[in-house]
Amino acid sequence: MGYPGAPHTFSRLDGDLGTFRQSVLDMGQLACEQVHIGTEAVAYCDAERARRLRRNFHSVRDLDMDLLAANVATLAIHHPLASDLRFMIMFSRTAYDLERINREAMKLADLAELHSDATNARSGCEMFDDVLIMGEEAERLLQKALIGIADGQIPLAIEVIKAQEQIDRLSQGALRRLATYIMQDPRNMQWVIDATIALKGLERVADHAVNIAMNLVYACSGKDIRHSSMLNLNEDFLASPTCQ
Amino acid sequence: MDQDSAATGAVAQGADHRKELGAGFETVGQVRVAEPRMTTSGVNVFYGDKHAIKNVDLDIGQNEVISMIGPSGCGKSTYLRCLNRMNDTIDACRVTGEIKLDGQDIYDKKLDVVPLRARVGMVFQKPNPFPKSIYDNIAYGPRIHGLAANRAELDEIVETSLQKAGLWEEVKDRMEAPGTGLSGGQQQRLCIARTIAVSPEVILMDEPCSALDPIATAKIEELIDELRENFTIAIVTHSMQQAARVSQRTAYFHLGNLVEVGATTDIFTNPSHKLTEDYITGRFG
Repeated sequence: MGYPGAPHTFSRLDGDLGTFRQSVLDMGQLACEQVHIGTEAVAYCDAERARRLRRNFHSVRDLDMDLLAANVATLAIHHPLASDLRFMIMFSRTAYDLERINREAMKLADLAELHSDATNARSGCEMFDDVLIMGEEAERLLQKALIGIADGQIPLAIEVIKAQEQIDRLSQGALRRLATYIMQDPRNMQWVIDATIALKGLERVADHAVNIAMNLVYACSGKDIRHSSMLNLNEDFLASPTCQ
Repeated sequence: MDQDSAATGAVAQGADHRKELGAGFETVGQVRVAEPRMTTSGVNVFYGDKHAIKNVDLDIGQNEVISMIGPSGCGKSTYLRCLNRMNDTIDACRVTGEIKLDGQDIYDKKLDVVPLRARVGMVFQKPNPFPKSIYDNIAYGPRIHGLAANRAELDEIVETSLQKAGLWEEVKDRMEAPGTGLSGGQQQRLCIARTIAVSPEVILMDEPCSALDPIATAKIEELIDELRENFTIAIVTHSMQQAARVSQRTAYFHLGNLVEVGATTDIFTNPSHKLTEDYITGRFG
């Protein structure tokens, strides 16, 4: 799908905006992979997956740097206005969130390597089961947010934003289960701490997915809903001639 | 397109931008302001059979800069010229509706247009200094309007006007030099000084920078920002970046209709009407 909206009279603007958009989507796909690999790396205490994460880190980081340069150039050359400007800001902020997600994935790589020692992996890895569940949910939200950006779909953005409550419930349930491991045996403390760190990291991934969804809402409707109540989130309120 | 869809900006994608908006069209946004300097109500302008301005309502606030944007031929310059009756000079032009300056109907048959054009001055696209000295360019208006009792007062008016126009330091040592000998940007500032020498209430500017280089343009824009303290300014411009920089409100015209008017920041970041959005994002025009 091309850049949202009718073509511009100056076609190079379409080209530049479209290229910028595609780069962000490519970065998003890489970030999703990082979350997926990072989740499994921790859940299975897998050092090999951790090494893949580290190899991919630079790809995401390099895209981020290229996007900054492209963003500045597009703003300087084209002086975009209205929806064009809002979409540029959305893509720029999304790139920032994706870069943060990439860094969260690196922290998962650290944890996976820490616990990949074959002598203790089997005994503690089952405490990372909730990491797998949380990671899958965070990745799902991120994918949905990125599809929303790709297709300009506000309903998808609203779904992602409203899913914050589900993430909170998953997190609380996981922490309660982790607490029982400590009660069973205080020697599980390190595993529990690291599982908690992983869960919190994946919560932040979900938060970044929500940020991306909010950025899309802003781009489409011009409304900044970052500090709005969930009650105000309906499609009529956010109706936009620019997006679906 | 019906009135409701016009109000919500729900023009279908791919709509023909050459298509007229229809008789019932209502402007989106706040056309009225508290304590306006000028008010226009139901203004229509005809060039023979051609209906150039269609039922425009718009207030111009005191000490504000309002910019008028729109594609070529949309009527923004025609509307601007209504505000000081410059359209009277065009035989085929007919203006209906009501235009008031400080509550007074400027199209009242008893009104003398000469003092009106001192109160509502105009700066044109191409700088047009008189073929006179720099001094006489500025002094001409106050002389014929009797604004100075003696030479000393005239000197003061000339100096003050040139200072306000940011030109005094550049020309104070050559006031007898011909105005036409100045650079383009200086000539335009001379014209602005000439306009403000007769103490206008409103200054109309019709693409004042389109013939100027970027530095001269920047100086004019800076000047507009300073003049706002004492004058009300209405500016027609093709540069949306300029409109965004210099004005507090922006009015978008399309095929003779005033489509949308609002705070400049809102118009350029989140316009309500699809036609406004399409124009300022360069999708037509």
